[in-house]
Amino acid sequence: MLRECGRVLKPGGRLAGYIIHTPKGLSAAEARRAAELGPPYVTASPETLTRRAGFTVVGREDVTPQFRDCCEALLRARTRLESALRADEGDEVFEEEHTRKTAMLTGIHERLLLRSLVVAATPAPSSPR
Amino acid sequence: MTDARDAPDDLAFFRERYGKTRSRAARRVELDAFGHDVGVNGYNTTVVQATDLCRQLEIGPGQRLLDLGAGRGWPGLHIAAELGCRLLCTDLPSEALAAAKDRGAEWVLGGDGRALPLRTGSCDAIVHADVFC
Repeated sequence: MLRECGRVLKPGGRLAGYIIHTPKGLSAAEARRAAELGPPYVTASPETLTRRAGFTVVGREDVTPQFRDCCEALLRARTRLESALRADEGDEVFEEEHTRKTAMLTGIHERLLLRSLVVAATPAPSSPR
Repeated sequence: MTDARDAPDDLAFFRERYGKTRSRAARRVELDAFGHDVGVNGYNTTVVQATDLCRQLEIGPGQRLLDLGAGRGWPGLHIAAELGCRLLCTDLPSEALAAAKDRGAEWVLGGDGRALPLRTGSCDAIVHADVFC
C-alpha cells in the first residue's frame, strides 16, 4: 500500500501520518502479546517500512504519551457515561469497545505498543540542466 | 507489507462500525474526553495532532490531499478546512465513505489502497492515521 502511495504522489510530495507499532527487539512472546493487545499486524520499524517503499523519511516523532493520554481520557469518559452508551449502542458493542480500548491501553503501559508520527517524501523532481 | 484490513473479519468489523450512525452517547464521550465533538475516529488522532499534520504536509489551497483509510473523514476533513486543499477520501467500507461525503469530503473513492484508481503523480500529499499498523 505504501508503494501505491509513492506512485500516486507527485514527485517531492509529502506522506504524513500516525503509525501504531512495537519497539524493536521484542521476543517472540512479547510480539505475540503485542498482537493480542493491539492491532493484529504491527511493524517494529515504521521508518524501515516507509523507506522500503521508496520514500525518504524526513521526520519522526514518538507520540506514545499523547496516545496513552487519549486512551485514558476516552476510557474514563466511557466509564462515566457507561449507562448512556449501553442504552444507545447495546451491551455487546459496549463490552467489545471497552475490551479493545482497555487492551490497547494495557499494551501501551507494558511498553509493547507505541505510536509515531512519520513524515516522508517521494524523491524530488530532477532539476533541469 | 501486511495490513490489518486485509482480513475479511476486520472489514466486516469496520463496515458494521461505520454503518451505524454515531450515537448521542458517543458524541458525549468525545465531548467529555476532549472538550469537542468533531467526530474523531476511535481514540487516537486528536485535534492538536490533526493540526500538526497540516504543518507537515506542505500543501496549500486548491491542491489535492488524499486521505488514505479515511473512515468518516477524520483527520482529512480537518486538514482540508484548515489549508483550503481539495480532499479525496479512500477506504474499503462504503459506509464510511458515505459518512465522509455527508461531512463534506469533495471526493470519495472506495477500494483497495494497494491498487488505487488514480493517475501516477496525481496527488499533492497523502495523510493517514493508524492504517499502516
